[in-house]
Amino acid sequence: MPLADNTTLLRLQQELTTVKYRPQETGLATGYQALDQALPSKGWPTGAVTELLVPRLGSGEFRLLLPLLADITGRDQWIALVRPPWVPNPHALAAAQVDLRRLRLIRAKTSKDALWATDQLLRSGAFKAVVAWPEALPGASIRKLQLAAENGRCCGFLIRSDRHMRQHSMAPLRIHLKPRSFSEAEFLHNPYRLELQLQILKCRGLLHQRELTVEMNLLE
Amino acid sequence: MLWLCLYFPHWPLQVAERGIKPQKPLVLVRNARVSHANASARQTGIRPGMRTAAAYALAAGLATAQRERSAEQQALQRLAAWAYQYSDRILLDQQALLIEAAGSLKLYGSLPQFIDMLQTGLKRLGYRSRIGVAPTPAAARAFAPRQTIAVDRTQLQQHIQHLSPAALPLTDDRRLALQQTGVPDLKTLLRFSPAELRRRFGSELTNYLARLTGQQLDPRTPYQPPSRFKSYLNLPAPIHIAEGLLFAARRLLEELCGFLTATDAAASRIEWRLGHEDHPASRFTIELSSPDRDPARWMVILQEKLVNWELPAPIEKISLRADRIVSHKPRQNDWLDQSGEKEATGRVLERIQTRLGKESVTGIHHRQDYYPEKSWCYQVFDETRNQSHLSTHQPLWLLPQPVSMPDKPNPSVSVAMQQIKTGWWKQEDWPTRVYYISSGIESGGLRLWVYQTPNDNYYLQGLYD
Repeated sequence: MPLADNTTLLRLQQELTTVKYRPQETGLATGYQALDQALPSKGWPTGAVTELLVPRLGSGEFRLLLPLLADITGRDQWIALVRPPWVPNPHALAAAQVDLRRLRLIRAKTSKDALWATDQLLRSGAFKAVVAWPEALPGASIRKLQLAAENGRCCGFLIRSDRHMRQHSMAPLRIHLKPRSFSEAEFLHNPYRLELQLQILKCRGLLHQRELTVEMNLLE
Repeated sequence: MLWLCLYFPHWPLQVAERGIKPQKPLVLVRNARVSHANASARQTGIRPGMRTAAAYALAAGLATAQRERSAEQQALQRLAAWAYQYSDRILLDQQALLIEAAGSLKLYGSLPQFIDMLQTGLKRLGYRSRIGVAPTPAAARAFAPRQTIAVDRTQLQQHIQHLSPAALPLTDDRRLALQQTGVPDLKTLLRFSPAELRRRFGSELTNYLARLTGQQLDPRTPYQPPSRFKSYLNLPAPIHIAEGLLFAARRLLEELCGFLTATDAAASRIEWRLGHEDHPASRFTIELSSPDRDPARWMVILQEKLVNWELPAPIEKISLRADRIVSHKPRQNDWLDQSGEKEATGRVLERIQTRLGKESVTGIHHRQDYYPEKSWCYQVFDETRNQSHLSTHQPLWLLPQPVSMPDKPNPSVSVAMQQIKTGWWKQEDWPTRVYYISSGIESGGLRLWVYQTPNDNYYLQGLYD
């Protein structure tokens, strides 16, 4: 017995096409033209959590977010950093035009507390962007955070080790970041130049993986 | 003038019952006998006058309490403070409050609307009342038990005639004396001339009747609200889990916020005290980022606080006090969101602080110090501050304290960038630092911010990201 007749299949196929090409809400400008163009939402998606997977913390992933954070605080909206791995340098943040008056740090003692706080912040609608460095994300927590971000129309970022790359995730956008290796001569020529290789592992509205390179200057 | 009387039937029970859900049977006990029994207790067959032991046999989960007259008086005072938000002319009476309503009606619409609002408010506080309305306070009080309403002099005259002398709020002796004379209703009594009345019943009753009909003004001085708030509830059944407190706590919060609204004030800090039987009382305070008088806001924070809280012993009494009361200002703090549809920033942060501790939420700011490890602080600054004046050559991340490096960084991937030798005026031997940006093989391509001291020690101070 056939599983479905031809008309049903045809209809399903049509529905799938419409789902796939449903126009997406415009996101928040990333500050990098190449990245904005690569993302279907033309920027960081709002009402969603984005996973940034890195070989090591400090690979350039937080710097990648600075234009966004500067933009949000510049419009008098709030951002929060949940349990960052080190002390965010106020001098460097101010140099990147981030308004420190609109930034709050959550210094949770345990990873569980941090996760709870992240959820609260995403859900509240009071913060435009929330960046978290979760150590462990047990079970359905990404799904829960995703729902919280949807509820609060918040732009959430989870910065994690790329060990979790193969793990299934409910995050609508997952990016693997890697600084391009450089030669000694290149480094000595300009030690502040950074090329970040971005691999979009998964993105709502995007059918295939994409790769791009973003250039940054550590002093800007 | 139009007076509205809130009369609280079974007042001693109402006061004792506030801390429990109304379905529970409760009796007040005096000399091992039941003096008052609530509706649930009466349903089981318990009657006033019964021995306590017999009452226990009738109702399994029976709660008992002693009657406390001082508590009843204080509860009435607090209700007056709550009612003060609706009118600034409040009189205290026996088991009743009198509210001058003529002014309030302009603000709150019609009389039925006003009454409805009062009843809803009282219900939330955990009280039941009967309401009487009349042009004189004494008449409003006399009408309240039977919920009579007289909005003008004509109606007043009409309804007064049908009042039974037994229903008048007089002392027991006077009421008895009046009943013994065989006067069936006030109509008969009011036919006497004042002189005759005085001769036969004494001046107290004569004056009372004059106040009732409005021939004489009520001499009582209106209630004045206090400048701080304190209230408590005795819990007839001990509470064993912290979350079980929420019911009683909500009633106290409603009372506090009514008091604050009444005095056009707000509080930013309240203190809870939980009394245990064989254990010193537990205390904790709750703070808001800005003064407020919205019970819901306090409630959310209290809930967070109680979720993780372990009781040292069962709770028998809960008290709430607010000493720092400030005049109320509409919110315009920039912690809070103007739009109103989203949750205010301050509220989420408050909730996080309540659960994770006060230190858990902070800002980060720069300090004027040439040494990077001292040039920042965890602090919230909401006012405009000068932007950093320091070199932007600094990395995005700092270590809380510089960490000594076991090996010298690889010179072929290290670039010297700046020297810091300030601080010499503080201390002769303050070491000069030479800073490098360095990328070791060890660090897997990370760029480190390292400094060298004159005696060739290397320290890691930050990471570029």
